[in-house]
Amino acid sequence: MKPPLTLLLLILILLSVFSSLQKVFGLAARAPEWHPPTHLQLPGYHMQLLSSRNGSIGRDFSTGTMRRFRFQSDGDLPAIVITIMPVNSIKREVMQLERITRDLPAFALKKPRLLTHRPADRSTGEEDQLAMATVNAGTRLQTCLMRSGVAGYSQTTLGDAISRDDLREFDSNPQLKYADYLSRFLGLQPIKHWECLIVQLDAAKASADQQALLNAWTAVRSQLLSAKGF
Amino acid sequence: MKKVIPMARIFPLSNKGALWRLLAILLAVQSIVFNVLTQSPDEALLVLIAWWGASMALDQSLSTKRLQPNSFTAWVGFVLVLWVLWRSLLITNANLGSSLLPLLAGIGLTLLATSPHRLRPYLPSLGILALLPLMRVLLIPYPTQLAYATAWITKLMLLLCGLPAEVQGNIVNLPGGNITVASACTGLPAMLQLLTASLIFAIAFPMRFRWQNMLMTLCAVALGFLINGLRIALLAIINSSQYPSKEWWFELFHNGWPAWIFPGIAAFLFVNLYTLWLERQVALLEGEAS
Repeated sequence: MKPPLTLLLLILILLSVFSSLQKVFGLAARAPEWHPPTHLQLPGYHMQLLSSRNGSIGRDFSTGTMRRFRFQSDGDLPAIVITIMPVNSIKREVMQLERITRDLPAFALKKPRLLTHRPADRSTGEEDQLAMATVNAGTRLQTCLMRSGVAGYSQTTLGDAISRDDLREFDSNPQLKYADYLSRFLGLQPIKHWECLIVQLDAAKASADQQALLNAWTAVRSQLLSAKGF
Repeated sequence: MKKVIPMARIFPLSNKGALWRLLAILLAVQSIVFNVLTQSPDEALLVLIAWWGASMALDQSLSTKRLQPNSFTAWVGFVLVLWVLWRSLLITNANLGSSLLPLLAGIGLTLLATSPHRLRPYLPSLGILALLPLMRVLLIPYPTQLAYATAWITKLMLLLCGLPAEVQGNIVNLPGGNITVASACTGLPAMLQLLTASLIFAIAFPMRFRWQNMLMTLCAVALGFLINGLRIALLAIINSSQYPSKEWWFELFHNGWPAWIFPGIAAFLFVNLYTLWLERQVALLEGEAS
């Protein structure tokens, strides 16, 4: 029996056109599944929710609801403004805060100084990678917190954490690696995506004690990781 | 009176060969679009070169022949192309498996055009598409020795310019400062692009003798290596200079668009060298014939 060649070719022609158009116009990151909390606590400060802004869907990354909090000191310490926004990307190479913040003016950071930080109450696990810079006569601290607890700014930290998580899946069963590669190649697994929560702390004065920002970050970090729905 | 143009003249549905060629073009476009949007520029360029080479290597006499698939191969080809189209929709970032998709699309197209015992005229094109996964695998290791070799050739170029360059491993020292040749700065992608181009030329426009094509393949890799050495030498000079905005210039030639000029120069030189030699051979053969 002769195959209906004309019909088969026409179907494939239409699907090729559809596939190209879908790739050009339909490629987008999904909306983040995590949402920043509406309430945070800092010892010695009282909180005020400044604003909330809805996120947007983008090609390389999508953003979720952005929330800003102002913390006024009960003593004479400078006020701290904390901005939190989740980002989601389907591209592993996009997961670097230095690249993401190029498109987000609210998180702009020029010539940041990278520092590693591990609070005294946390003796195990990764050190946090934080970026610090002077912005508008104030001090700004910035990082991106992943569900696994890794906080990083550069692709080296966040990308390595993603790769380690990917490899950890195969640790228990080496055979799974090949089965996983095959099923991934055949397209039987859902599209991978990565999320992290941008956390930015601003102190109004450039002379603000760096330790005050680090203490605030430590307190916020544990609340974000333990918050329900995060 | 209004003249009616038959639909069949605008879109020849009955001409299966025309439909097949249209599908081949659309699959190539789809493959290039998806690589440009989801893979690195180096890989997207390789895919573009490979599809161009595959079309060049396709026997032109095939365009006048009828499609002759048997029932089984036609359905297998249809399913294969269908799967490639669906699979490429799922790829969103750098993916090793993506380099296999053009080859599988090519196999699917071939099975839609002919039966298994008449595959021979399509093999050169499939061979070119098979270079993509091969080059992708070669691109993974970024050998350290290549960084050392790049530092060494950079030193030679700087010495030729009269600059007192010294090398320690992959570090090039100049009096004003030093640069480290990272593995990713060895020009490996450009060398592999030129290697692919030379293999495509060897298949699509073969020289009179095989050794000539082998020589041109070596020449392509050497050109990629030398031109990258030139780029690194320029970066070393900028870095050791006292220009007030040297950081900006360094970044521009390191990661900016001018970094693409150097592989472009290498490709331009290679294509001109190849065509020059080929034209001389053709002239020689025509002289012998007359």
